[in-house]
Amino acid sequence: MAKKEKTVAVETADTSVSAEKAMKKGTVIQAVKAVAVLVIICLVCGALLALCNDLLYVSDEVRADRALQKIYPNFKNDDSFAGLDSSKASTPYGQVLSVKKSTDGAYILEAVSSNIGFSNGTVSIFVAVSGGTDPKIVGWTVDKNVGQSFIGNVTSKHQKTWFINQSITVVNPENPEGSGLGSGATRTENAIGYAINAASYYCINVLKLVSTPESEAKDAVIALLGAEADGYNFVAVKNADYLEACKVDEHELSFYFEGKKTESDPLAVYVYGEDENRQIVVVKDNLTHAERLEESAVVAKSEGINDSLVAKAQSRSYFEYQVQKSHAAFEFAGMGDINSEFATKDEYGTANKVYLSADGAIMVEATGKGGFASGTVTVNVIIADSVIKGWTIVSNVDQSYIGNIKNEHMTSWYVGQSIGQPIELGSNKVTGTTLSSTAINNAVNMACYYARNTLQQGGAE
Amino acid sequence: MKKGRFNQIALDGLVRQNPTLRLVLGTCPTLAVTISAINSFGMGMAVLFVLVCSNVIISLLRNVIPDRVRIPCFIVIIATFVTIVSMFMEAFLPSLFESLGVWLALIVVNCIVLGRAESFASHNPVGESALDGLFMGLGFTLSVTLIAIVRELLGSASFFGMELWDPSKFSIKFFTSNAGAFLTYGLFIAIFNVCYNAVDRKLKHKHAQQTLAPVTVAETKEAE
Repeated sequence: MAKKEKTVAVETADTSVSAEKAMKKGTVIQAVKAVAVLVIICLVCGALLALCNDLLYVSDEVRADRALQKIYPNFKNDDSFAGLDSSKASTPYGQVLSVKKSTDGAYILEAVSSNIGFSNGTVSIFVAVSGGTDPKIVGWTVDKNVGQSFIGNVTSKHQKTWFINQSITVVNPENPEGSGLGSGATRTENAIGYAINAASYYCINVLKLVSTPESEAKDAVIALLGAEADGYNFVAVKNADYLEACKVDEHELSFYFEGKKTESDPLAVYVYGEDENRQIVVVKDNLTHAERLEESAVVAKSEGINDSLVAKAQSRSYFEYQVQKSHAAFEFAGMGDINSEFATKDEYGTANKVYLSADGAIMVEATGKGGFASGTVTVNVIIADSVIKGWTIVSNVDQSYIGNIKNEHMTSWYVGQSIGQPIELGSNKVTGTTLSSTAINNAVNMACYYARNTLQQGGAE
Repeated sequence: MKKGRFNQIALDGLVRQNPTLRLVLGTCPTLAVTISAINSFGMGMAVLFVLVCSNVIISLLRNVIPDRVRIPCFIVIIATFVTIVSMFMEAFLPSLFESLGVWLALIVVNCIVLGRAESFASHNPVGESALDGLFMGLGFTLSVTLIAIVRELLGSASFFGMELWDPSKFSIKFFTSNAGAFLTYGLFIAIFNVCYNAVDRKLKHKHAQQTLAPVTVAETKEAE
């Protein structure tokens, strides 16, 4: 009896084990089937979409034609027009990508803003500019954007009102603090404004649709340089203080242009007076102060130009002006030797160069680490009497948000602080640019560290 | 299919289970696109297309799709048709495509589409599912277009983009705002449901009278 019971128990156990196995097997099969069905559906849908994409794809040309019809329905292409001059397509506000001319004299330009938009993104637009003696913006539409999450706020209604009938000589300034055009997407509006400016700039300076004092001055510079102007892009630096600072007796500096072709071959252009009284001097801008004073530094000058104007142009550069603005008494007197013992400090970075001033002040070029994406920021720090007199950013590596550090920060942060102790970051930062601010702080600290240890500024550490 | 079933599906989609005014589904696009009648009609047509196509495919595959992966499968199918309609609009109706913007892509997550796939198409044959999609889509289209006509008329003094009078003389800008969208939508729901309930009560009363009448006669005879 007991044996029989035992046999039944063993059989029951065997049955439950095999049932469990079968159940597990069934579950696995079901799971595999579920995944297989999902994968097959995805593949079929993908194939269907690929087919539809082939049939319904809208090319960039079609998109451009549509935009064109939207902003300027009467457009008839003027085949005799040469199109975009790519060597002059870069403007201070952005890039001009294409230009078309209509038989009635109007121009359609495609322009992309510099990375002034939201999250340092850009906006591309098509702009229609009327011909005639007073060219105006007659239509525009957004084409593409990079990173502009709120571009949807800029509706077709806005595209029918903003900038319309505005003269191309009007500059639409950046306004990151708000009270812009009212769509609620201020940074995107700025990017649109910049793209409009880029198109307008091209119309004025390349297409010569209107003549402004700036474009006339630039034309005169190009005429003076002749073949040497080829490939150069001349950008006017609009700094009233600098224009005032370059005044020589009764001669007022009308325009200062930075001429750029390559990083190593820049020109500084000084334009005094207007029209028939215009006097121009062009000097090389990549030289040391001493080299600039040599005659070979002058690339071109107007015939019969006043010698004092040439001397003024040779004696200063825009960069030096910026430095002197921080410490007016800074008068370049030579380069200091770098003491390698104190040129590097792990927590800050490196000291690269030392400029000496005639009055005993020094300017230390230092690179600070700890920036965004492990990048660096290089600054010039002017130190006199153990106090920071001024500082400017020289260059950066991978600091996408460095543009958030404005001139007002350079005149307020660190200025007047003693170099005796390490300087805390504290409030010397811009929200959203903390890492770049940290790199700047490290660079300034590096300059101070170098100064107090090598040049007896503020006492040795 | 029996005529009674056809009528039932049609009435459900258009009136009894009207997705916008009775079930209050697809509220976000309803509020967003009803600023213009053309946009609303376009949105309605897009939803109708997606509803019909997705219902048909889901119904065809209802015995193949395992229960545990049904929602991902439905979403993939719906997203495919939304992408197709989006591509079509970009190619042939660019201005409508631009106007609808992100709302077109968001049809993927529209409760009406997923709701009908889950509650109807995955349990019913192909023909009925297609009809359900058609009438649900029509119900949605009619509702949003009607709401848009009222908002456009009062807010912009126009009808399907045609200006009827000078809006500077008379227009209530409130109706073009978000708050105006909520108010108009709410009023439509209220009016529709009041009318629906009144008609429903009347029909039920009539039906009750018809079914009760023979009983009363029989009872009378019995009493005699």
